[in-house]
Amino acid sequence: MTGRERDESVADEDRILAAALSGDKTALSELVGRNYGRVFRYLVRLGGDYHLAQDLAQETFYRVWQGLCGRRETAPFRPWLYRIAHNVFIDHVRSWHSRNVVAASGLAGEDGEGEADPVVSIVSRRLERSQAAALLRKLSPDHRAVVVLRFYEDLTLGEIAETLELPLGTVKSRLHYAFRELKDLLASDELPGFRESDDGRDG
Amino acid sequence: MPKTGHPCGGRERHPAPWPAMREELGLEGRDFDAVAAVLAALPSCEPPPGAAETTVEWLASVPRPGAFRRRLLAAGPRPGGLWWTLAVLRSQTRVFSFGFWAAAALVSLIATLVTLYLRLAALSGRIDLTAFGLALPFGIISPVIAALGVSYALRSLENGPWEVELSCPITPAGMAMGRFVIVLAYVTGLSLVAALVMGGRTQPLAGTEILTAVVTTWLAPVLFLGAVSLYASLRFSPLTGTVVSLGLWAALLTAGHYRPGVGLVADPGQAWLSVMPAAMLLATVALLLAASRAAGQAAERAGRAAA
Amino acid sequence: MRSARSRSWLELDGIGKGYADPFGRRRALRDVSFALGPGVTVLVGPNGAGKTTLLRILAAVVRPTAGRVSWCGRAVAADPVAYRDLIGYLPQDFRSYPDLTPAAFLAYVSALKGIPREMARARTEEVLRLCGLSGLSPGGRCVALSRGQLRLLGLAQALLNDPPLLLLDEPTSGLDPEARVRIMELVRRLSAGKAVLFSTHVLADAAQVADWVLALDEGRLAASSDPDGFVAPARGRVFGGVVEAAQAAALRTAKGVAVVGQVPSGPGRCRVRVVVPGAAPPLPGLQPIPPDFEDAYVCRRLLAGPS
Repeated sequence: MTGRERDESVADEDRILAAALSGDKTALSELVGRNYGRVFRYLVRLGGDYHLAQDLAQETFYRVWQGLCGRRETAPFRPWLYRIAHNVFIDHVRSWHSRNVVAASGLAGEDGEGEADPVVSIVSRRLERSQAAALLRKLSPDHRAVVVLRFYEDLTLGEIAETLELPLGTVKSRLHYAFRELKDLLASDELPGFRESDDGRDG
Repeated sequence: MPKTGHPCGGRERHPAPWPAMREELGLEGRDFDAVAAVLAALPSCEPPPGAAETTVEWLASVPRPGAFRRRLLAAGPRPGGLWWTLAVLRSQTRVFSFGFWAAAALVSLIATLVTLYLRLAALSGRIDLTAFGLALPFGIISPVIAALGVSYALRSLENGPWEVELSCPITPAGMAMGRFVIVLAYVTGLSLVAALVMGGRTQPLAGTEILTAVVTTWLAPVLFLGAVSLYASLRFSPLTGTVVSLGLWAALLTAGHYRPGVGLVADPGQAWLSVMPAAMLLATVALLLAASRAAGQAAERAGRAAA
Repeated sequence: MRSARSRSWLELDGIGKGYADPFGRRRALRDVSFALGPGVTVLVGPNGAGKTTLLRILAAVVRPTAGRVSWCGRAVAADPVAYRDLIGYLPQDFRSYPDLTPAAFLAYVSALKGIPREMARARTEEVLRLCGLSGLSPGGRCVALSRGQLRLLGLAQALLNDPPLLLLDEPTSGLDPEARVRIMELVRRLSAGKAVLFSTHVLADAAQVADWVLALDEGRLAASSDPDGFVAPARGRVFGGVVEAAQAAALRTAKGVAVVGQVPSGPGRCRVRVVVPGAAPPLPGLQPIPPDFEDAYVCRRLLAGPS
């Protein structure tokens, strides 16, 4: 998307958001329809849990719908939305009520060795067992977030800084550190075993 | 198309920001490509079919913010930018009563008329006046109005709705500075009127001399005394701000009266030699910075009293 | 899918607030942690427990010395200005500018809250009506308001921006019974789409509307439960009956017994309601009765022991 296309898209999203907040259900459908996919994918990649991502995506749009999250005049739309999703995820991890759920979903611990939960679906299992997911789990949530936002969501560094409310320099250094760590992890073969056959079978 | 038909059955084609990212990270090409290739192989996870529609239906069923809140949110991003700030600044004018505007104008008018009389009398040789006497109202009264006005503007710290004000989407420093600016703007307006009244009736000065006289005998003292009052009011109390600023002013005027040339009240020709105006302007900057910090502490002080 | 009751909007984690005083450091709050969602949460506690300090922290008027407050996962400290746009706060010691009319004061606060001018006038009238102040004389100043009317004006300004979080410190203080009932009904009506936290000494008000009860004691969170859970410890510990006046007098001075109600009941006799920490009535003839909120509050204090 070019810069101009991006500006026009953002202005359009502002208009839709305003209409949705004032109660226009059609605008709400459009707002959610346009943005649900990216919010969901971000949460899946950040948390590594497909089912959890549904819950958190719903919570994200709930907060938008309720007007619970302030947005300054100068703040662009997409980073603001990602920030809400990010805070929903962090909130969930931090929340007392969800400690057990976090442990069961495999998010607990930097080792990535989440307990197997009988209710985790095949989908989640496939995700967890992929080498990429294993790599991402090795990162701290802070570093994982910048990698996901840059590599998968294709946000600019400035947009990532807006999303995570960090200085631009910190975003750069975290991204740099994260990639170096991923490179070292790949080189050291420290990852839990993954099935080559899964990667070959998919796609 | 994923073979399983499931949203997570296949690999997503990620956008390839690789060249830009490679440059951002400053990694060796091979190192970056190895990592990127693995990351790109993350199984794609699209949302389940109908998830967005289900979310919309659910959102429509939960209790919504009130009608007014919805209209307010739809009116624009909150908090806003420049227009919001200007609206808040304009709102601060309501803090000043009609009595304040009238009293300040009256005092300024009296001082102007007195100054006019003295200057005309001095020009005609009827009286012999020092620079001290010629300084009214620019040199003496304007700073007093500024200092008292700032203390008055911050009276809500002691017995007004400061807590309510601080719970609004505005910073304490922003509110204090806004009121400071309003007082200064009003004092400037009164001084301009005074200058117009006196213009042409006293000996005219050359262009640069006017500027120097304005800065040294009016701007520096007004800013300085206003800043002293602002800081002392926020740091201690509005009453303390009044006492400290007026006491300091009396001391400076006395010093200037007895030691012409080093005081702030000097003849235009000597004004630029005086260190006092320069010192005042520097002190003003320091005081305003300190006042910004003190604005937040004012709330803590009030909180301690209530705890 | 999450239900509204399980959702939390506001989370406090280890909140502490200390003040330095000449006699050594004093703590107003210690390690207070809880979460709030939509609905009415009542904050109870004796004088000096830290209720007002807690509400001031939640209104972002003062900062905690320890811990973290977050709104929808975002730390308040990261952007207190944006957070304040989401709140309405009624301080315990609410004051207005005495020389303004109530409508002018609300117009002022509307501007501070960033309500566009074209919306402010209608909104001001609406909140005045909601709070039962629409009958005030248009030219009357705030200085002429009664204590109760001033309190209602304070509530009106808190409602101006229709905030998702309402923080009310003793909202019914100084109100007559009719006004108290109106305010509690208003609180109940508003709570559908809002999180309301209010502190009160009038436990009957709390019983009327509370979805959740928080009890503070000496700066610590002593209880956090739904109304049933709050009352539960008092079951079996509240007794009532008719006794001799001398016996009632003795009960009042007895250790470990709290007389929460006493009304005359014939010559030389009175009906008493007592709370005891044990399971046995303090006098024969007193029967166990179901506890209410006030009983529960007193019982918790008794069980906690002398402070």
